[in-house]
Amino acid sequence: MAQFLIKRLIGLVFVLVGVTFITFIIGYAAPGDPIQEMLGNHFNLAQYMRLKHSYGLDLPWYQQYFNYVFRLLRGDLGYSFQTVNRPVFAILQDGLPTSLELGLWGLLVQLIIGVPLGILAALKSGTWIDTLSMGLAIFLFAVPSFILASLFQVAIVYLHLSFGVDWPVSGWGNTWQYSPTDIQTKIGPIIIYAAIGLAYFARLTRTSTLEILRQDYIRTARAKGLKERIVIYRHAMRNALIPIITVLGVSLGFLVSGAFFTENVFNISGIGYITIQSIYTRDYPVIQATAVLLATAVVLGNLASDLLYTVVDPRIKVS
Amino acid sequence: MAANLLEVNNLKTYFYTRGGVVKAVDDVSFIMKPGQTLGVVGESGSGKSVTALSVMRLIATPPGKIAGGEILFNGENILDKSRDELTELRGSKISMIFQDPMTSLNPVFTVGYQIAETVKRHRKDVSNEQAWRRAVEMLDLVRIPDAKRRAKNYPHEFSGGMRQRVMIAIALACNPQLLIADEPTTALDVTIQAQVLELMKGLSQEFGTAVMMITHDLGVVAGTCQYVNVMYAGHIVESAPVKQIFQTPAHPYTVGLLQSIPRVDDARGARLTPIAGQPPDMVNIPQGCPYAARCPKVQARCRQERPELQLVGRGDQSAACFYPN
Repeated sequence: MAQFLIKRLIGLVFVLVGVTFITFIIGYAAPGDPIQEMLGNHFNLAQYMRLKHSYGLDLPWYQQYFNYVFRLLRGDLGYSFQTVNRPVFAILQDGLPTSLELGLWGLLVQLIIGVPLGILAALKSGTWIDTLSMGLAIFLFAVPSFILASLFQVAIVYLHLSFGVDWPVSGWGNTWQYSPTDIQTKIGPIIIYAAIGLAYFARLTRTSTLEILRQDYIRTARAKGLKERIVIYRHAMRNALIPIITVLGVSLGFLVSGAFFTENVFNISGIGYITIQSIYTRDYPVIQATAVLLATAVVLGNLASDLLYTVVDPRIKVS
Repeated sequence: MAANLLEVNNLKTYFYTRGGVVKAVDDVSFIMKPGQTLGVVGESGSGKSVTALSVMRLIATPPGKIAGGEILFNGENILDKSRDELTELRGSKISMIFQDPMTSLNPVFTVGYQIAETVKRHRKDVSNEQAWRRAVEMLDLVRIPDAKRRAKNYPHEFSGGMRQRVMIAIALACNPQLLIADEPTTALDVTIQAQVLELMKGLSQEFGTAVMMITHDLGVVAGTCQYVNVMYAGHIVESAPVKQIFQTPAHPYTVGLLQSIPRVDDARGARLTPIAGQPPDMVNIPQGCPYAARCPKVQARCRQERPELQLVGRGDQSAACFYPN
C-alpha cells in the first residue's frame, strides 16, 4: 500500500514535469507578448526592454523554463504579470473555493440524477422511458454548455419581460454561503455545469447496468429466489458501479479546474475564469499555475478512484 | 407408487424472434418421482436447457414465452404462480446449478455470503450467524478444505471445480426437493468432472433430492441417472430407464448418439460413426418426424406425420418413432 502510494507520487512528479514543459513551450511559442499587453497604449521601447529584463523574459527559453521549475520546486508560483505584484498563489486562492463549490454541487447533481436515470433506462430498456431519458441525455451531452448557458439566460430574460419573474442571470453570490439570494444565483450555473456530466453518467450507468444484467451471476441470484429488488440493487449495482468509479476519479480531478465555459458565461470568478483571462493577457505564470493545479488534481483524482476500486471490487488489490 | 414430484404436460416454450418463432420446446411431457435422478440428453439447441429454465420460470420474457402446457410441482401448477410465490419456490424447493461456474458466482461477494444469503432468504427465523454457520457447514459438505476460513474468500480465489462445488452448496443449502443441473460439468476438465458428479450423486442421495441432470454427455448419464429423456429439436424422442437406453435403444436418434461415442474397448484406429446432416432449422421445422431428414430408417410416413411418444413394449421404455428398434 505505502509502496503503491509512493510509486504514484513519483509518477505525479513526471506528469508535472511534462505538463509544465508543454504549457511553457506552447506559451513561449504562441504569438503575443505579455509586456506589450501590460503596457498597452503607453508603449515605449526603453521601458519595454527594462520590463522584459526585470521579468526575465529576455533570457533564452530553457533558462526561463529552468528558473520557473526551480521556483516551483520551492513552492513559489511567481507573480502575475498583469495584476502587478500579486502572487499567483493569492490569485488561485481567490478562485479555488468558488470553483470547488460549483464543481462539488455540480458533481453531486450529476450523480444524484445521472446514475438513477441510467439505472431506470437500463431496467426499462427498449420502452419509451428508455428512449426519452437517453434522448434527453444525448441532447444534453451534445449541446455545448456555453449554448445551454446562453439559452438559460435568454429564457430567464424572457420570463422576466413577459411575467415579471425575478431571477439572477449571472454571478455566484457569496462563496459557500446559502442565503436565499445566494441559492437563487447558484442554481442556474450548477444545473448548466452539471448537464454534460449528468448525461455522461446516465449513459454510462445504463450501458454498464445492461451489461451486468446479462451476466450469469444475475441468473444465479434469480435462481436462488432473491427478490428482484435485491437482485438489482445488491447484486447488479455493486458490479455496475465499477466503471462509474473510473469516470468519477477523472471528474474529481477536474473539480479544481473550474468550469471554463460556465464560469465565463455566468461571470463567476473561479479558476476557469482566471485561466481564460490569463490566456487572453498572456499572463504566463498564471497559465502555468492553473495547468499544474489541474494536472496534480487529475493525478490525485485517479489515485482516489484506484483506491475506491479496491473497496468495490475484491478482485483488485493495491500492490 | 409415490406421488409425482414434477409433472410436465405438453409444455411449449417459444421464442419470438425477428426471424420467426423458435419452438425451442414443443409439446414436451414427462414426470419425475421424488428422489429420482433424471437425465436429459440431446445436442445443443434440442431444448434441454429451455425445459429446465421453464421449470424454474427463468425464461427471459421477451423474447421467450411459455406458450402452453402445465408444469405441476407437488401437484401445483408453477405456471399459475405469482412472482412472489415463484421466488419463494426458487432456491428453496427447486434449485438450479449452471454450466459455467467461472461466471455464475457474483465476483463482489464472498462465497460464504452468497450461500448464507440463500439461507436467510428462505428461512425467516434464521439469524445472520446461523446462516453463516450453515454456509460453512455446506462448504464443508461439498468438501472445500478449511471451510471456515474459505467462506470469507471471494469467487476469484477458487478454481473452476471448487466454484462449481460452491454452486452446489448454494443449491442444496435449503434442502430442495428438486435440483436442476444444467450441464454442471461441461466447463470442467475430466478429472474434476468425475469428482463433481460423485459429489452431486452422494449429496442428492443424502438429502433425498431429485436431480434433473441436463447434459450432452451420455457418459455422465450412465454414471449418475436412473432414467433418461432424449431430446431432439424441442421434442422428447425417447424416454427410458438408463439401462435400456444403453442396451436396447429404440429411437434411431438414440442409436446414432450411442454409435458416435468413443469407447475404451474400440479397436485402435476404428472410426466413429457420426450422425449425418444437421439438426433442423428451429424456425421452420418440417412437418413429420423432426429426425426424418437424418434418419437411416426413414419411410414415407415419417415425412408426413409426427410420431407421438409411445411405449415400445419393453416395460417403461417409450419412443417417438413409427419404426422403433
